[in-house]
Amino acid sequence: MITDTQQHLIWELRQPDIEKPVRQLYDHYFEGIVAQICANSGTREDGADIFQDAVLVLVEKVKNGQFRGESSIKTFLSAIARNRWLFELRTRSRRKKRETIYSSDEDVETAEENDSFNIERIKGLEKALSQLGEVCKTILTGYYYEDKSIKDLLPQFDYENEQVLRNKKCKCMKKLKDLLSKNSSLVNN
Amino acid sequence: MTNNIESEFVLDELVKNRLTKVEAKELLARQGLSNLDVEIDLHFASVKAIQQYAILKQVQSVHSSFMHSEPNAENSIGKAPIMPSRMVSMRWVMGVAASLFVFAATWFTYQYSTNDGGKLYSEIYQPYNVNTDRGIGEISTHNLIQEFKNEDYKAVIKTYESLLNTNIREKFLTGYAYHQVANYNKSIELLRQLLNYNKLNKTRLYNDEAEFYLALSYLKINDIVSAAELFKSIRSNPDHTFHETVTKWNLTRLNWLK
Repeated sequence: MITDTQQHLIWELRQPDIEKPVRQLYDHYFEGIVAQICANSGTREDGADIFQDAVLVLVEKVKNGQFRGESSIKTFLSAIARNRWLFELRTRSRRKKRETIYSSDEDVETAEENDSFNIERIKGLEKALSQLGEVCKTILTGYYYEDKSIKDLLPQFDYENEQVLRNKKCKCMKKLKDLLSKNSSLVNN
Repeated sequence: MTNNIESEFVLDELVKNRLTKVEAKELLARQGLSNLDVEIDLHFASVKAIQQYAILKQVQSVHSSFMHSEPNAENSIGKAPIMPSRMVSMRWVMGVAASLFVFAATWFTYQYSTNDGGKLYSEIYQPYNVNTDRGIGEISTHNLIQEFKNEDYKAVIKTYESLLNTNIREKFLTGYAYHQVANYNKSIELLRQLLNYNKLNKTRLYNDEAEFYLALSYLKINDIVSAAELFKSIRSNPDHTFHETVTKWNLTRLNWLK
């Protein structure tokens, strides 16, 4: 992928709606990463899971400015996948053989060890957030992820005015904080 | 922990970088809040959680559609090499395979010959209960929700028809009520309106529920093609509320009815 295209993709990943650029990542890099995992004792299913995790890490790092495109997306995804797969292999007690295979690979822009996007934690978070209900999730993601104002959000709901919606948002946030307080392992430290 | 609107406003201003931490702490302290660092950390953690959740849902959605659209990706998934150590007596394997084949053929013949829409409907159908949480904050001037809770579906329809303005929730509940009184065409009309509204406005309120009961209504009026299309879409989306309710076996039997 040429640099301009990569920069445009990074710009698109910084926007709230990321389905189109994420689809492009899948179209361009999925097969390569899966082949990499399959060549190292993994199945295609392993490769698909690892690729999804690598994409999540990339998106998070693009959004918080830790990945600005100094290295190529392909190299970055490959390195993240390599680290995740090594971790998985370690968990499966096959550490020695696999580390030898991978140990000579180059370093890239960011090390995954510093990664704040812990997949297991996020998947736990997904379960917790499902307890909030559809309305709360829509309000909170609209406000905090899509960066919409209460005024922008109001037409999506049947609330009488902005104040009612603001009260509802406050209650949703309280509920979320309760959930996080009860399960500190879900909080990103 | 704070749930005070003024405090939350200050915390939001801090999150959005419109206030410094010092300014925010000063304002929060004036509002009588203690444990300011804990409050601030928890607010930041909650916002981060929401943002990461939103990213996860979008990536999962693309992942799911990619895996279903790529024959190469899906068909070969999970294939593991045959391990020599697992090789067992070929004769024994063939014997077991033959028995299984005869059993499967008998079972399949029985299933195929007794397959019909009514039986399938009964297996998939599940009743809907009002989630009280989803109505918090709504201001209501009528008894539609209470009538629904009382399972007085005719009253629900009557109330709905008397309303000048309706919201998504009332539309869904009335669509369901029409389904319950066997007026499937009206149920289809309302649930489709709801889905169109969500599509146009990029919202998903009651979307999963509407798709599920719309598919059931189609099944009831014997529009198997429309029902199968919706059930297939529900089944193919792991995040769909009714993903587990609709099985692959249900889809296979629906296809037999076409």
